[in-house]
Amino acid sequence: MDDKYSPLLFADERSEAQQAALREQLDEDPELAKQWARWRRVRGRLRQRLQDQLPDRRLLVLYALEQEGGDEHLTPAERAALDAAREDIATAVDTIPALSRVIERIQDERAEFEEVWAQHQGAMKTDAPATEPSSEAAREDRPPRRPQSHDGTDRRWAWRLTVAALLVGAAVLAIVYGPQQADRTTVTVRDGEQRVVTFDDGSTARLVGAASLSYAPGTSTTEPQHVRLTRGRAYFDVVPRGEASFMVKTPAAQAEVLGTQFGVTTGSDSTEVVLVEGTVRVGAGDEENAQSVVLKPGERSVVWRGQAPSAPAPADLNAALEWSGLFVFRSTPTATIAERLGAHYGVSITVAPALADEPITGTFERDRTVSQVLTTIARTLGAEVRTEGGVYQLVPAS
Amino acid sequence: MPEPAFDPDRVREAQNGNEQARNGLLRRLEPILRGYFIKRIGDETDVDDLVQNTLVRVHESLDDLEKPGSLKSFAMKAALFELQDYYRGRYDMKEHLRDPDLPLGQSTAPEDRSAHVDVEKALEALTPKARRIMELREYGYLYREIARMLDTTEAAVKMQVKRAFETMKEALSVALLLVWFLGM
Repeated sequence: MDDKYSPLLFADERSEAQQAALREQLDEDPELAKQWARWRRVRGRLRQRLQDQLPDRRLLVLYALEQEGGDEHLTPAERAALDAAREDIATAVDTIPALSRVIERIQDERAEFEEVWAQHQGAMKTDAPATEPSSEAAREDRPPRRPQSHDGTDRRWAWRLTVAALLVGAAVLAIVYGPQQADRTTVTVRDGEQRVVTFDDGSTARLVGAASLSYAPGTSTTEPQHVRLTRGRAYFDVVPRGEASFMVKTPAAQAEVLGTQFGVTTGSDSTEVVLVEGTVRVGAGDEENAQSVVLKPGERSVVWRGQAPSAPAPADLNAALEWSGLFVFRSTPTATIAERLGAHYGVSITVAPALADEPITGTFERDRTVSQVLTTIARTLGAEVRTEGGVYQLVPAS
Repeated sequence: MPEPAFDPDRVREAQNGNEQARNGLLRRLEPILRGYFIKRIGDETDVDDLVQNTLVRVHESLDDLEKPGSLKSFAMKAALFELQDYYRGRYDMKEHLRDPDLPLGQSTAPEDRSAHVDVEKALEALTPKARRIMELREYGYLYREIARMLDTTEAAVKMQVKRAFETMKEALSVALLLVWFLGM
């Protein structure tokens, strides 16, 4: 098979950056775009058929429960609804054989629920005094987790708001203590928003929403800090920590660092780490023996859940970390920086020949003015900024 | 004997408007639901949504619970319903790759002319296994979940998808040629 189609077929498993690259590819390749459109049309037809045959999936759940003899789970109203729909469901299963697998899965889900329920009930009986379970009572005073930002529907937001009102009144916190992790702080950032989290040791994480990060507050530079980025993107600036590690964990990977700057993009199945400065060891998952790679500055690695990290590969830092809202330069000639800043701000910037090859390493916030960024660069170079006829000039200090 | 945490009397009190009893009941359900969803779909941020939404389901329909002693079945069904909603909406926001030549609600005339024939022909060309995989994918399952459901590996499932794509590509090309020929 022509491998150019593979990334498209599994596009939803790719990171947003990778999806953006695929979009560009589609724009540039009409044949690829045509095949993709047809593929989507076929899939759309399958989806429509599922919807037509099974407009209410709750009935399939009731059907699955009944099929395994779980009739006692159904209320009289549910039984009546199922009676009315049973023939249609049987027809749907005949027409779409995959639905029989769905029914089996629902039955598995039912069995697992009962297992979890039994475990929790057992734990309550073991741990709790006869009157009120102390751990549960303690939770009464603790605010629940804030519903996280998610690219869901308005309906989901409405539900969240209902639940928030139900459980905590009007309390909406940007930083909350999770009900099961009282010793950790969780920070959630909505889609399109950014927030800089400063840890107790001075390290920072610039969260780019939608993202969620948790960490143990009160951790000093002499203690290991385990930060968990469960989704989204974060740009970390970690202060030197001596022997104590700073660990970033995601659903698919973990990165251990010692004083460095790096960006992490994570989804449920993959994580990309891009290193700007220092050293990072990137491993797959939590296992001690998991394979790992060591990144050098300017390199990236991608970890798919359950797989070894990809070999370190060179990265264009500015492109790879554009989402961070930062200009990221590492040993970049001043002339190149001027060119990029000029393109970004839509202005002309000239650099004196004596400064053109001078390397600069640093990060600058993109929402600063061009003048502010250039002034910082000039100070680093011992230069100054002049403006003449709308053109910015970096020249040696007079 | 009823469990102390879900004493039917307290459930009845919750149904009768005792806010403290209702909040206590929901709080006790929360860790169970969280543990369950983490087990089902992994330690993902979606778990928060699933937990919250299931609690809302329970909250909104608690008054319909006729037997306070069957709270477990009640919560279990709420969780299973929520999972179904989750699967159905799973890919809606993730697939950002629109057809550049076929914006939503628009199509070109030649594509319109053959679209239905194309799709049906292409579907007929699939093997039963490939079709089952694609149907499960459109239902909302991940390939790794489909692999477990079909007792195979994720790599094998993805290979089937690639083959299905190739098969469809060829089938669609033939169909288009036929339409062109018949239209002459």
